[in-house]
Parts: sequence; C-alpha cells; structure tokens
Amino acid sequence: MRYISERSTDPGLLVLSSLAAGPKHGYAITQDVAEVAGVRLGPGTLYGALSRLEERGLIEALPTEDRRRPYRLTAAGARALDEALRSLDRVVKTGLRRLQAGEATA
Amino acid sequence: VKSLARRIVALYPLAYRRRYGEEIEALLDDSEVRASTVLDLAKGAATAHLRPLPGLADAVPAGERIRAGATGLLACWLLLSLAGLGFYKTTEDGGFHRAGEVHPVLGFAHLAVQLLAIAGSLAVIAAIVPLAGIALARSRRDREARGAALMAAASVAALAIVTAGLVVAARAGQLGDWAGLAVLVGWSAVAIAAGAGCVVAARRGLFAISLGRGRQRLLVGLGCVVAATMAAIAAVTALYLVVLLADAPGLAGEPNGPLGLLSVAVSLGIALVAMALATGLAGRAALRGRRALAA
Repeated sequence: MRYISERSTDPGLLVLSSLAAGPKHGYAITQDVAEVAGVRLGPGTLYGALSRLEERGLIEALPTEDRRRPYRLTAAGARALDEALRSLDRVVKTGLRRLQAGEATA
Repeated sequence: VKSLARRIVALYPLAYRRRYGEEIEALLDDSEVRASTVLDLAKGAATAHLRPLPGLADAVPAGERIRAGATGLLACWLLLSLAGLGFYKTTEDGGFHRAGEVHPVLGFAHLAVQLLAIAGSLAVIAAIVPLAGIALARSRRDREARGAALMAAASVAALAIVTAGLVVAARAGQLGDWAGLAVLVGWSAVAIAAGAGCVVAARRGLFAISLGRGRQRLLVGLGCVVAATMAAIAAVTALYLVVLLADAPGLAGEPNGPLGLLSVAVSLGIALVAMALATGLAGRAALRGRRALAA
C-alpha cells in the first residue's frame, strides 16, 4: 500500500523530503518546502500531512521545544520516500527522453 | 485574520487539538496569516472530521470522546435544522400543497420530512433536557456550568427576540424585496450565532458535569437515533427534489426568495447539500461515540 503520492506537490512527499535533511518543526518545514519546491504549505495542509505520516509510522515526533515539536524521518519513512522519489524520477526521465526524441524527429 | 485562524483551530476534533493544537498555534504565531491560511485551516478541520485517524482518537479518554461527539452531533443537527427551515419556507405555498395532492410521492415526502424533523427534535430534547438539568443544578457551585447555562439562555433569548421581531414586522405590513432580503440575512446571521452559542454552551456544560456509564449509553443511543433521522430527512428531501424536477418542472423552475434570485430547485439543492454535509458529519460523530462506548 502506498502512503504517499508520487505527485511532486504532494504535501506528504514534500514533508518527507524536507525531513530527509534532518529533524524540523512545523515552521521550519514550511520555510524549507517554500524554498526548495516553491510551494506554500498552509497549517491545515501541513498538519494534515504530519498527522497522517506520524500515524503511519513514516515520521516520529521529538520532545517539544517551547510549543514547537520537531519531527524526524523513521526508517520506514526513508524507504517510502526513496520509493516515491525513484518512481517520480522514472516519470521525469521518461518524459524528458520522449521530449528529446520528439524534438529530434521534428 | 490571526484571531479568526485561532478560532478555526477550535473546530478541529478534540483528539487532533490535544495533539497538534499548540503546535498549529505556534506556527500561526511564527507565520504571516492570510485569508488563504484561514481557508486552509477550515479545509484541514473538515478533513480531520471526515477522515479521522484512529490512533489519534484512541489517545483521548472514552468519556471525553463521547462528550465531544455529542456536541458535534448537536452542531450537525442545528445545521440540518437551518437547511430544513429553508426547505419548509420554500415549499409552504399553496402551489406545493396542490402539487402534493396531484403527485402522491411529493405529498408523502413533504409530510415525511416534517414527521422525521419532529422525531429528531424529540430525540435531541430527550438527550439535552436531563443533562441540562444536571448542569443547572451544578451551576450554583460550578463556574463553568454556570457560564454554560448563561450562554445557552442568552443564545435562545437572542434568537427568540429577533424571531418575534421578524414575525411582528411581517404581520405589520409588506416588506419590500430588499428589506425582505436584509431581514432574512439578518435573521439567518442571528440564528447561526445563536446555534453556535448553544453548541459551545452544550460543550461547556457536558464537560462540567460527570457522566455515568448509563448516561453515556443513553447519550450515544440517542445520538445514533438523531444521526439516522438526519440521514432519512436528507434522503426524503432528495426524493422530493427529484420528483419535483420530474413531475412538476414548472414549479421547480419558479423564482424563490425575496429577490427571486434563485429557483425553487436551486434553493432545495442548496438545502440538500447542507443536509448531506451535516448528515455525513453526524454519522461520523455517532460512530465515534459508539466506538468510544465500546472501548
């Protein structure tokens, strides 16, 4: 069963990608995602993704620091992210190859 | 906008608020809050209600889940009541009675909606009255119960005064189209505010009193009856709309409301969507209550 979508703008995928660089709390995740992917995650979307990822054991919460709780990737989360990114990579490479072949024949 | 966003956080399910509420508020403090942030939170709250996470809910004690579920059910019932009032106002004219006589299914559906509304109201009253009595008795020595009682009384009184004013104004003379629309919008705003006040009061009252196992069972049972009644009302309203469109398209296409901006069919469609939404959320709340009781 897939826990995250391979869509490049899927909040779950964006959060996991952000946490792959190390533990972060909510605000740090939104800043990182905005910088890397240009996507502004609202608090409802962010905590919807965090709660689902945590429920499925893909991330885990660390002790709270002044109302801000950092999260980190679990081993299962790293595997799920790896699988999703490889799948996305296949789509990207195939699409680029087809585009180049189309340009060559045009 | 930030204050509104904080109020939207209060609409999340209890378990969700307990686990993530403080973090979301910290995030709101750190970030720039816009109108889109409020919409995003509202969408998140709706999703959290419609697709609850079982692990999260289980972390909240069963008694508190039953209380929160009962409050949510009351909110859903009030939303359905408002939509039902729209249905009743739209279909109260003579043309609809005549159509009900010509098309038996229309007549049956119209009557069934009213009978089901009475049955649901009785179930809500049966659930509320004994608990309100306990909260009132407790209000002498408990500040929270007293606050809940005052809030409920103020909400009901505000709605009663505005409704009485509306009735007097309607009987005194003809209201023009724009005045009629303004009165309708004003009354609806007061009704929604009063409904919200009653829900908050019920929640405060429920959390201020102790609920034994027997009362919990009764509350969950009546909640299931209310949710089932709501589903039946929504289904019969849908049937009414379908039959009206098929058998009396002229009536369905007639303008409706003070300015006649909407047709009868569109008005009933909007009421039906609100009923379906309220019923879906109520069903969830009732199931959560049953699960909590079994835990």
